[in-house]
Amino acid sequence: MFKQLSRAPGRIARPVWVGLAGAGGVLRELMRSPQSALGTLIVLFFLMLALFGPQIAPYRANDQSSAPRLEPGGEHLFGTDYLGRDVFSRVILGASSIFRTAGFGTLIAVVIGTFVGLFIGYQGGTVDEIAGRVIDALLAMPALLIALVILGIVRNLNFEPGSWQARLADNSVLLVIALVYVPIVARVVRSSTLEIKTREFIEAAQMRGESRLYIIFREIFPSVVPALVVEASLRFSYAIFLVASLGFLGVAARPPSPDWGLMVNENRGGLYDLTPWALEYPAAAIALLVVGVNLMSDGIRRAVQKSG
Amino acid sequence: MSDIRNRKAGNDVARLSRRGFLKIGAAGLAAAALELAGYDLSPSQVAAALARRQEGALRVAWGGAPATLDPLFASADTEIAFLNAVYDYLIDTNNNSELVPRLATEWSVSEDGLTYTLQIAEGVTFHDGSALALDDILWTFERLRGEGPTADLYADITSIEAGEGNSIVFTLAQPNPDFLYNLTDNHAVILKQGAENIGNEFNGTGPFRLDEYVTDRAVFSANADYWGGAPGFGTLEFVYFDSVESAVNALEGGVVDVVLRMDNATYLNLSNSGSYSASAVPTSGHDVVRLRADQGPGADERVRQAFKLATDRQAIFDRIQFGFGAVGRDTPISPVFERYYTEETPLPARDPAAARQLLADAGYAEGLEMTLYTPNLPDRVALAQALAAQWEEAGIMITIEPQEEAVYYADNVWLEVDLAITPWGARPVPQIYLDLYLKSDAQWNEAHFSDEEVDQLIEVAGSSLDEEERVNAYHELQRILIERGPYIIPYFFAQFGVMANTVGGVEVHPFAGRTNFQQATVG
Repeated sequence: MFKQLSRAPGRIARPVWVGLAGAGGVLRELMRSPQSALGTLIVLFFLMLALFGPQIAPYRANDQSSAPRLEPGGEHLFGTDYLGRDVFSRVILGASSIFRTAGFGTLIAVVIGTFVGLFIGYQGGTVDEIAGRVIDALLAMPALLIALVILGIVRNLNFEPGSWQARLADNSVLLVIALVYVPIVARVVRSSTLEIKTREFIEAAQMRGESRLYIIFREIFPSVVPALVVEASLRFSYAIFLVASLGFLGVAARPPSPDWGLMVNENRGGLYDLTPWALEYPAAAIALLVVGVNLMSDGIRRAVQKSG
Repeated sequence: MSDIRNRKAGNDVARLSRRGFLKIGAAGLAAAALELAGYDLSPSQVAAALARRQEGALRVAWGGAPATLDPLFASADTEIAFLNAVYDYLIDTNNNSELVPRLATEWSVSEDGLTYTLQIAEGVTFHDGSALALDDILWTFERLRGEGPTADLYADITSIEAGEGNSIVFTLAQPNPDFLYNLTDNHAVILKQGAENIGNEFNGTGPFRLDEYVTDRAVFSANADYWGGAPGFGTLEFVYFDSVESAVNALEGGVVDVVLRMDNATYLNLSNSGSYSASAVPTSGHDVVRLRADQGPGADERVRQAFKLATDRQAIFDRIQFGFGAVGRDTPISPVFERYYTEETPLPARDPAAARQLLADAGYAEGLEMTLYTPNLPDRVALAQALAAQWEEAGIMITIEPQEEAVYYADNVWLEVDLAITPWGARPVPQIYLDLYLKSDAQWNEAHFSDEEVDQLIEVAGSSLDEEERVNAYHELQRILIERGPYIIPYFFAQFGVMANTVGGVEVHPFAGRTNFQQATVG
């Protein structure tokens, strides 16, 4: 009923409800197509591993009590690596680190990017002009390159272990993900804002004398949510890829963390011929999760378009 | 000539569809095939390498390229291998680290151990045709004794003079039983007196003359006038790759004949394949895991003992060295030093519970948290992970901090932190390690270990002319290091060489760059 109201032209909508009512529709829509249903299931599967990994995994991540280089099968479903660590357990335990880094990184980027995008989009004028150029400049640089430079520098600073700088440095990957995605999210939100702020209900609010903050967050923000959801899911899939790449390049996770990218890196070269399974399973996990998130975000986009 | 051939081959491949492949040279086809198969070679590398196969050439692949070829500063295997081909040393070492004649055909030592007389070979000529004079040797050593990395090594030489006949006489300020080994140092190749543009022009007396040196390869031809007998094949080619992986790919593709220096896993694969002649040479090179003995937890001897008790050296050796090399005993004196090495003092068996108790006695009842610094090299990071897992059982919680080598060494991280892993390359005598990092006042005493008894023993081992006294000193040192040293040395590396079955007569040297190729046969 609210949905119909919001569609009615010329009416003053209460768009907060649109977002909430839309969420149920989006989920239903998501499960309707087989591809996006599959993607969603894959993501949920890995999310479950991330949440309950320690309960599921038969071994601890750095347990080296088994014989090294055992082929997959029997007690070690995915075999053991050169140090005698259970690959199956490491793949399961690796899910949490990728969800934490990519997930929280994306979340931070979405929150900050939304604020920035809403503000500069609504403000317009010189502020928009200057911020727009800064965003353009940041977008011109490849995300991986920025991430590598920052992490390369941070990793080689020697902070006192346990100090706040060291703790910050330990979470630098998360912050880097946020940093490289803020401009992208901000740009998407800004362009939606530009379009929405010309609508009549905004004009009405302005005429009612509502404050700028009220207009931005109560009137504009809810209308931006559909575009934001699509963008966030897309960012999440790119973030997974970025985290895995950074892990592979040795700047994201610290050994002996069961980070998938790190595992791929550690077991390539001569070790790949000896224990191919120690590389192939984590690589497959990365591929599967990226495909899953992509299918899901495709579905989200379609669903949002339909219900929006 | 070979350049023209390369270009032609390239053109033929490009016109494959129009002109049919009958006209294509075999080299061109093979080059294209190899390139497609992903052997990481530039087309000119492939074509040149294939062309040379017909000419009785030995092609050696390296997983890196030289950075400097000035003998004073060269240090990497690729650099030393280059110098070892075009120049001669006075004395060489073989793969058992024994002294063997090179330019010096024989030598004698005075009774007081202060005067060394070396007989120099007759009829030696430089590649430019001039004869080797004793002045060239004197000039070379003047250069080595001046400012530079070798100044310390030769600081005890008081004079170098021409002796009777074609001999040269070194006089020392104090006895040094390892002096002849100092003469085998990697930097000590003999140059021509007054040589200019050193590192770019190579007028040596060595078995090979340089024909061509570009970024990805160096081509040498056999020195037909070599005083020690001309090599039995025409061309020696060093091919420089970005990585060991690429070098191994080239070997598997038949584009090179020899690969020296590789990681344990790669060697295991190649030697298992049965298609190559593979040799693993035990060396004295090792990884040192050390606590700082003057500050932090390692200052307490009980903590050092706890670390030792928590470590399973055999398990580490099996997992990281794959059984190549030797299990270590926490001292730098490796089994390759035969009579100096001893197993008299038993290493206590692994006992995490006892280690935990020792830590509790030392005030770490709740366990001990430490950061383990290591250069970011695969084997060392692997070692760090193995140690972390073993030590955890004794309540030692480790954060691993891999650092780029440039940071680890250049910022002196390795000399300052409380717990670190440092790799040490192979040396022909144990004394070098003792002088470099074990003595109280050693330049690289990274553990800041200072023990009067140890210092005295090092002094005796490094100066006594009584061989038995030296042996005893080395044995005693090993006992002390096992009992109270701040070091864990879990293994000694092996050096690897893998060759096509057609290659013979190449003995892999513990320092790969010192492998001699003049005796090689190419099938």
